[in-house]
Amino acid sequence: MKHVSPEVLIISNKHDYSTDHIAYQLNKTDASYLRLNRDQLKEFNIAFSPTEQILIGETDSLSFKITAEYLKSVYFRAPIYLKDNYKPNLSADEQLSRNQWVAFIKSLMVFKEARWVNNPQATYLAEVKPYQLHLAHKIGFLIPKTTIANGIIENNRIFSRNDKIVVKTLEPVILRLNGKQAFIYSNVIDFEELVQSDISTAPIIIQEALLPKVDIRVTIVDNLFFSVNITKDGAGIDKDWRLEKDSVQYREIELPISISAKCVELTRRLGLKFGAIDLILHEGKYYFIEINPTGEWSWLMEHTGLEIDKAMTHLLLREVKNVA
Amino acid sequence: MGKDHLLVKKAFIYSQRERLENPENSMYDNALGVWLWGDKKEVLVKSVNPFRPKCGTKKADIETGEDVKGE
Repeated sequence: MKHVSPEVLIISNKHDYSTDHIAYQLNKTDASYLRLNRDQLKEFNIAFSPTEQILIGETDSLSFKITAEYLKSVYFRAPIYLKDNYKPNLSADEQLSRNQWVAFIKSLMVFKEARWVNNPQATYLAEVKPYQLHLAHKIGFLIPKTTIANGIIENNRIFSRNDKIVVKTLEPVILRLNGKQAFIYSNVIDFEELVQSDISTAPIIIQEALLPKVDIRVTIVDNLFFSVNITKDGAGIDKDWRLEKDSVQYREIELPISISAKCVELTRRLGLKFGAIDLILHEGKYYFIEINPTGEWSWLMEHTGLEIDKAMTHLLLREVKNVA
Repeated sequence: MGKDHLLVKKAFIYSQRERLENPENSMYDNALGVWLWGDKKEVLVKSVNPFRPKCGTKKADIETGEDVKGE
């Protein structure tokens, strides 16, 4: 049986292939690491002492002992709270299991001396889009005109009837709809359509549509940043580009120093080591749209060759190797 | 019964996947923390396998999504 006392702990999921890139890079070093997949935790016998800061576990083929003494960093690729309540027909046992394992994973924050990428507590705050906008504005980013509302208050209008607006959720949500699942992208509509619609049952983000636009994704890994623009046939995409993701092009770009510095500053102020920031370039100006503290990055490597996996691994190993 | 919420009307609907399938001809190595592919046990995501999993932007690809992380 193999035994591990990891310096680097990865909390992930067995089918999260982005994590494979990190494990692959870690395996090329002499650092000891352990990937714990949430969907495999039931296969282990696990015991955790929060007061002693010791977590031990074993299966037939693998045992581990995680201690505050050895553990230097944690790569946390897991939700900070249960988000799969859209799924039907879960047994009571399965509901309990999912709920409690998520809580268990969060309890690993007991290893507070380790470098967390990212710390779930910071992620929780950083995922609040209105807070992101508030902080980004304070830092000096341009922000599209924004309101969060479940109706139109006539004397508080910031849009006029002919404006194009973006309507989107306050946070990502998956719905169960007509026996299928549904995801709500950002939608560009006429303000008039909003006026004619019902949003009373749930508040939404209503934002000025900056058109035409070019979408930019900035991936921050501590002090490093990787910036790409996203276009189709050489032009920006006015609707949510994720709906076109099979036919768009990604190209590495250089941002103005003032913008990249704001991206790093925002990430730092949110207490994050990693962040995926969405910007829009509109009429020569850069606007902040949102930051995702658990954003994906490996798809960018596929398309651009950016070595984000190496940057992430370097960050995780910094405490282990005591490198700059 | 009231009207549907605007965002429900705008929702992108897709078929629910019952469960995640393991990648073909591959096995997960618990100790390495990676999927290995084929007889040579190449690291799947670095392999020449044209069907290796490609990570998307993960919105409708929700099963390993950035927002649900495998929920």
